[in-house]
Amino acid sequence: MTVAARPSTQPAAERLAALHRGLGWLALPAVIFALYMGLVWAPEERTLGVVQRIFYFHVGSAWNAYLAFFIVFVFSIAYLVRRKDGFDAIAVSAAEVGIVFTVLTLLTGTFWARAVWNVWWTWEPRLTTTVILLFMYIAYLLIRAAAEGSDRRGRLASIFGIIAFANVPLVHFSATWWRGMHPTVIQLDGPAPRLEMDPRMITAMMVGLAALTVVSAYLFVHRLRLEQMTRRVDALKERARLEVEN
Amino acid sequence: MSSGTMFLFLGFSAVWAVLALYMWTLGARQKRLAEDIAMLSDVLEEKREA
Repeated sequence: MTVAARPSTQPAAERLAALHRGLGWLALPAVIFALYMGLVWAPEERTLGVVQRIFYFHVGSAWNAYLAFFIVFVFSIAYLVRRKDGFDAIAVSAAEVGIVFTVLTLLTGTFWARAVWNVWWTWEPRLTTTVILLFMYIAYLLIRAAAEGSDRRGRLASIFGIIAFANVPLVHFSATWWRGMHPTVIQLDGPAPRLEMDPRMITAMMVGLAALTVVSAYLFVHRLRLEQMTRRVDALKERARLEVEN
Repeated sequence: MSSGTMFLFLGFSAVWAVLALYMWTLGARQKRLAEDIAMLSDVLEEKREA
């Protein structure tokens, strides 16, 4: 049997494509398992009934939106410090995935609200701050689209990405600071934060959260691959333009 | 079907619809970019040969 030697320096694009495929294969069973845990395994909530099961994906969606916007924040700072194109590519990819998960958070919350509060929407603090968060990151993408020149675009977007992140803790603590209608899962009034739920519900929530994190990573890597391809197209167009001029 | 089950079903359907739509747009953008890269590479190659 012959064993082919693996090249020591595999191109980054190929590594990203392999990671993307791997995450895709991991996401499918993770989501199926999370659906089983949330819809079948977890006990039914006594007062809210079956619709409470939306919660297992609502929390996971919100967590992934926060995580994605934290990545935007970190890589925006990194871009301003180091001016590496790769950092800007990571930030824009994470922003887009964060927007998708914010939309999912709002959608799942809306269906839960209609069943429990009997309204599709109410301007209570958590919901209002979440909509503001969504619009801020849509504005982040619009700023990128409007700015000309890769460095100017990167700088403007990075500054906005850092400012926009200030809204994330505001969203998270709005339910306790302003005592809105939104239920608070994590109780902060004791000596340490605690979850007041049946342990099986906590398990189902954690499984849903983990599964959606894998889905989020899969989407992020796919979006990052597109960002690399976009930058390659821009570089090729620039080369073609220079060759025409010469 | 109780109203709770209906809203649970609608909520989950909306989640999968949004995720499927986003994945479809990613796929469509990837296809278009791959075509652009191939076309621009061909143009540059032709220019080099000329």
